[in-house]
Amino acid sequence: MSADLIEPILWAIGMALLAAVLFTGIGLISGTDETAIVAPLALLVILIGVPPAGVIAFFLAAIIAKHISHAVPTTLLGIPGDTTAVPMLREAQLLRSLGVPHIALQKAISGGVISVIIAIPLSILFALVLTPFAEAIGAAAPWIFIAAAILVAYTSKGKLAAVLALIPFVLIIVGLQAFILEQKDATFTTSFFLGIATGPLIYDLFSALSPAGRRSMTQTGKREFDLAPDVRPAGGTRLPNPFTVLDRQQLAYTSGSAVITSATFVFSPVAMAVLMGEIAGSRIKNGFHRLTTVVSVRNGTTESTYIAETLIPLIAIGLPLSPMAAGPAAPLFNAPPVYTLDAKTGETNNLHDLLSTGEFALFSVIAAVIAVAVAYPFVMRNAHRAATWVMKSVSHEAIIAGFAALICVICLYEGGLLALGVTITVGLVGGLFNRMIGMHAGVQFMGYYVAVLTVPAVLAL
Amino acid sequence: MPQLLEVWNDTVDSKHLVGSIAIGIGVAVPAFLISDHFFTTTGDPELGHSYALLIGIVGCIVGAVISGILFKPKRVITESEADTRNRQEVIDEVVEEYGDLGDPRDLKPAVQEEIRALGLFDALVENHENRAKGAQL
Repeated sequence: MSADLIEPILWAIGMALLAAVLFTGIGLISGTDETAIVAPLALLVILIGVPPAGVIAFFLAAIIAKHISHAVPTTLLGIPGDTTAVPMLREAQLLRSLGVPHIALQKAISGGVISVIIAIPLSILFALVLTPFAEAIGAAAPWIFIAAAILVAYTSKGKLAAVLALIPFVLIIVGLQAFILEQKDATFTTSFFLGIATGPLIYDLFSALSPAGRRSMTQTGKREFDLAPDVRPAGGTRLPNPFTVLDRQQLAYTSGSAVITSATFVFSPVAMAVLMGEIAGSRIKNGFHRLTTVVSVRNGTTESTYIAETLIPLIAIGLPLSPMAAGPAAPLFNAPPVYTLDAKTGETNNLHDLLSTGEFALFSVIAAVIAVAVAYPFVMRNAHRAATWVMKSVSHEAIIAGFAALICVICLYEGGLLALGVTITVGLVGGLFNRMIGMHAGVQFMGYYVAVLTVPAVLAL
Repeated sequence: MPQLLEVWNDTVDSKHLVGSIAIGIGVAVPAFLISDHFFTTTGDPELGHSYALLIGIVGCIVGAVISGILFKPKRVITESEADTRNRQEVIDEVVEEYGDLGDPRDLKPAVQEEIRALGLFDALVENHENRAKGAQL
């Protein structure tokens, strides 16, 4: 090993460790949406100047750890840990009714670990297959983005409404960018991303401020949560091995789904989790066995889709051409002034250019090993205690306060009060579109790229 | 009576929310602005901005922790005891929603072993047999 690699490896180890601990904790908090939480924190890591090795390791360790610990609120409290945990909620609930919530949790996180092991090498392999076509894909990017935006919008909850809402949304961004360029001789990126990612929060805060909006948000009492009893068999201090927690059929279905979803990097992770669960479930006759298998397959898919949808576009293309890359992983592609993506020439200067494929492989493996080594044993041993502590001690007000402050600080850093205004504008409009017509943040990120890539290309025709 | 609202998927008290946001922003923004001014006037401006950002982030965390200490969660946690009802009733409910859970005796030995360890084996067999009988009638 050359001496030049030692420093990046140390960065990768350190940042992966930080992300693994941080996101194992964040995953325990229900409803912490990946885009809203992971994107701003990844952005932060990039902006404060962490080198590429640390950035990729931080990001991967974050999503891997989060998609292990998000199974805790999903299985023990019956509320989805985040967006991708929604598909396994029903099976988890049913297993909980049968009095075996711990088995749902163990199957889910073991499925996740197996998928991580499969998805990392396969994603890199698929990226290598795609690399020869990268130039052609890059040249066609403006048209690919508009096609992707329409497709992602149509497959969102908003269907046709989300497709049509792209028009005002894109125009708002184009208009804001033109004004910013006139005022500052530069364009903003971060404040747009932040607005899109935290849109639902910004919208809710506005709504809570308005007497009319507040009426629909009023709760009659404290929200009740019913924690499943801790029914694990006593005495077991040995850590269960993910390969023995799953039986052979479950291993086969989870691995098979991970292989398939490592290649289908252009589809939505939630849709793939639902689909893979259906396919595996339809092939298992016994009802009880179907429940446990579907939980492991679905949680496995949340890991493999996230890994593949980050690594494939990063390694092969350098443009954020997947729902994931245009969402939680967006800062890895474009986070000026550190990482840039030139709208006019399609030239990139981001992780794609800064790391070789071999380095991607190395740092991904480091991130995966550390994230699994931190999250898996912690969740296996302490799920019940940790869920209780989070629900009793971490107030939602504190989380909102942290994010509101984070939005202000990052915006002021990027472009002063104008950037803050941009985030509030994009956040309020985006949050409104999200809540009212089901146009989720992924569609809006695609809309951003349509505004900066496709619109200039259309005007140049 | 405090006004409870659902904001960003969980319950908050409106007064506490305003207080928390004021604390969060009140700590983080001045921390960022002051350190930004300090670092950019005394050293390399590029690097100074990054250091200021880092201090701003620390401010966010400090603000959130202070809010967390001042305002407690608005959640009621009830820990349900293991269901004391008849096992078969519980299984019937699940079957009604999901469909027959099947005969565990059809499964591979290793899977059977797992269900035995969970204490569900006999209950599932009984439920399946009752259902089979019911279907014949």
